[in-house]
Amino acid sequence: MTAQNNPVDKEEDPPTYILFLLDASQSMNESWDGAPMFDVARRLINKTVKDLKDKPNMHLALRVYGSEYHYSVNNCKDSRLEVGFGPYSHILIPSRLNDIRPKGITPLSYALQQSASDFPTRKGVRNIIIVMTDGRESCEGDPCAVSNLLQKKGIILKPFVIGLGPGSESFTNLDCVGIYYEAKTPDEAKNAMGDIVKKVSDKTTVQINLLDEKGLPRETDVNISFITGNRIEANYYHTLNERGLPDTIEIDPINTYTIKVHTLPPVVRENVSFESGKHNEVDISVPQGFLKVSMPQSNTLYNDKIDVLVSKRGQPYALNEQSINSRGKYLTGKYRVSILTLPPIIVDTVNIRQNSTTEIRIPEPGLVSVENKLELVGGIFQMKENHLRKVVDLNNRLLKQTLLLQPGRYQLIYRKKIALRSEETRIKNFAVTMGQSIRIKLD
Amino acid sequence: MTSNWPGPWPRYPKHWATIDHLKHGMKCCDYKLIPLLAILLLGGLRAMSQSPEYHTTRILFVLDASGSMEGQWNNRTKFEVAKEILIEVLDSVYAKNKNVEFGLRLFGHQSPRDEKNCEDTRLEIPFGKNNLEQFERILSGVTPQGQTPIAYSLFQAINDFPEDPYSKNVVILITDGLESCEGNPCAVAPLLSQNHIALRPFVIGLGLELENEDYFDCIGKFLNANDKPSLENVMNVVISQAMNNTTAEIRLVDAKGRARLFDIPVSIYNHRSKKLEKALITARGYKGESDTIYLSPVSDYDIIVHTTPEIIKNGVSLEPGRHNIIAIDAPIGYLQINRQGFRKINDVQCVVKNEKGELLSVFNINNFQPLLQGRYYIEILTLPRIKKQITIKGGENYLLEIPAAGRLTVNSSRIGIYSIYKVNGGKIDRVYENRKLRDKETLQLQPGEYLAVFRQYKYKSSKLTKSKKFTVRSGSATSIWF
Repeated sequence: MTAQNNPVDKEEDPPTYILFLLDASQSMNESWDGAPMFDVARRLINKTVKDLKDKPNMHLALRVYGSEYHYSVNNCKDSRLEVGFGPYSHILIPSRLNDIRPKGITPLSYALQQSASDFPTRKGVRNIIIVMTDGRESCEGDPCAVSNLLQKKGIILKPFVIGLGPGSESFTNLDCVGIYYEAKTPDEAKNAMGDIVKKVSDKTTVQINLLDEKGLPRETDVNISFITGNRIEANYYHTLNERGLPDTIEIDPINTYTIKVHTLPPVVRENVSFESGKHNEVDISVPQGFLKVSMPQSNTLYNDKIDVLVSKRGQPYALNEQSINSRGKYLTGKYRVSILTLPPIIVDTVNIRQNSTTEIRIPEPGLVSVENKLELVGGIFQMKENHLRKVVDLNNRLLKQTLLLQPGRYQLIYRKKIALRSEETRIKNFAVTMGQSIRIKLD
Repeated sequence: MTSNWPGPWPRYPKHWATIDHLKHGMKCCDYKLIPLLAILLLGGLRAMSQSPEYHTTRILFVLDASGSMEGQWNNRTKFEVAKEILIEVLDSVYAKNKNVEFGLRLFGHQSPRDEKNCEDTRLEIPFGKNNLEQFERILSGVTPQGQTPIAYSLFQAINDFPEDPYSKNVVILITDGLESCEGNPCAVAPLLSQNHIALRPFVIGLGLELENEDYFDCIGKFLNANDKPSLENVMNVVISQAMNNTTAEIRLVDAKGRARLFDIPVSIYNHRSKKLEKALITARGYKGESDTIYLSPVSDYDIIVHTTPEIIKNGVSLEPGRHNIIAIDAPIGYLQINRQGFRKINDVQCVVKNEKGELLSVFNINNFQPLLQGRYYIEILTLPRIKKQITIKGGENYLLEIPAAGRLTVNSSRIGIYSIYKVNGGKIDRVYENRKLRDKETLQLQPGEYLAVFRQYKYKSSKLTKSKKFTVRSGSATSIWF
């Protein structure tokens, strides 16, 4: 049993690990607004490292690709972790960058794959890759597949990708690697990095307003799941704070979320993104009320619980199962309620209203015991609208059976199992009254 | 038993004359009148259901008064029970029918068993109308004691019927034993039919245990009664048939086209008044023959077969005076849901709905549930509920195996709100919620991986929500603490 990775469980921020993954392929030597593209990228990283160095819980590392072998060698494993995560990486990164000369190809998939082992394996940390590249994969790899796999395994969060240079808009196959920024000019690259830093480092808070029918945020005590793609990022049991307002949670703004509010039925919001560094409010309408099926229980006949199935009309399966004399909470609206007594009681339209409890009262059943000397076949029936309806089959192996039946008039239609003719069928009428037991002896 | 007629036969030459005489004096059956349906009928019925020109029905009871009739049936002797039912039947038939005459021949009532009197039979009450009192009187004075000379008695019975070409003649033999003299009842049967006495007599066995079920086949239609109610019933059946009532037979035809579906409740309503006329549980009939029921042909009927779902057949009409076969297709298949593990935990219900979402049936799993061929939605009320759409094929078994539950105990030192989820990648579905957990609770969960989410009730911060993953295994216990 392990505690789920619930990044905002604790009061302090989770440690963040940022790996810069920099393109050092030969084309990075090209001039970009008067300077080599690699120099522009290097200066941008240096500045970012400087900005981040005072932030608590922020760890940095640098990996490059295409820096070791000349592009003519076509080395598809040309990638190195230049500076690993450590206390001095904000000093080491700028100095390493000074020594790197771009010359190789772009084995982006390989580099991504390798970066997985650059991060600590600890749970409860945010592992982020910022890719800066001026071109597409030049080896036989699928960087998108690698990125998705690493995300799925929970090794990294969705990477950021900055496409550098005037041709960056054509790097369309990179937008599936991560959140893609196209930077046609050095200024755009600067802005992209600024945005990424903000997303990574600023506190982003969210307040989910669960609205009632009047549009007021007064609904609460329901679990809310934050889902990104294939992962459940967090669950929060919604509360109202001391002032009666929905309380605030912190959320990682890197992701786009599906928010599932676990009401009955659940309410789902897809593609919710949050503005980083801000207080975000999300309004979700979940007006709720209660349903209770009550039955007096004057004695202890009922060892078996009586199930109540609540479904949306037109839906084949029940939305919820609750037991008798307990309250279930549902979104307001119309439901079909099936109470599994004998015979079942079906209420086709039950209206659940805001904050109130809709109560269905059913009478207490009676206890019927059927005793017979020989095994019987047949069943207990009830006449409804001139039509016999089967309530329950007799168990053809038992000589004594006990049933809880709702009050009413019944017909026991039976025949001895050994009898060969249907003309030997007999009918026994009986009535069941609330809370009473009756014994039916058949010879 | 040999097939030859034994010794006593040649001693009654005068009857041969009578027989010949009768034979020539009678109209024989016009077989062209036999409706197609009647081919399916039993011999006894056939002779009666096609001859509308009869004016009178004469029914002769050949009643066993041998020593064994003193045997007990629910604290009374078989003979007393038979007597009582005979009188009830006569009473009701005479009340409604003017053209019926009853007669009574007894055997075994005059000589004690050890005298071995194999000719101990007597026509005690000749045919006549309104002889009910006579029946009461005679039957009260009888002491069952002697032998069971069935063949000889039947043979004598031929002469009990007056010469009347417009009479339908019926013999009803009521006995609790087999031939105890050396007669061969099989040899008598053709003589009876030759003399226009119902082709095959009715034989009512009183708790007879036959080694060879075909024993009475050669004589006529054999019906057994094991106690008073069933004797009453059988008697009514026989009399109704003898009285030329309309009969019917409901054949529930299975997926393979065989009429082999029994023990199914059927209710029959008057089509016009919508009143219930009859409710019955289908039965296999004698020796797999027809299971005849009695219905008045005056009205049309609505028939409901109480399968799941019901089969409704409206406006069924019957041809009067005939045996009507009502064939209803009931392609039943079976749903069987098996779950391993402890019986107590297995008392789980399954809900069956049709495609419109209407509740059809609720049953406990680990049983067979018969269902008509078709598509259904089932929901097994485990935790979480198992939902499935199934297709039942007639004559086939749909087996669903589900694993045994495991036990989960959720402990909390503080009052909390918690819920349990099934998680699959980015899918998270609520399985259970308890909005006020105190101390602990135990749940039976299907095996699998789950996530529990908990928050102390009084905490005013959702950040304090705790999540725990856990695994439930069939038949074992898991605990989590918050």
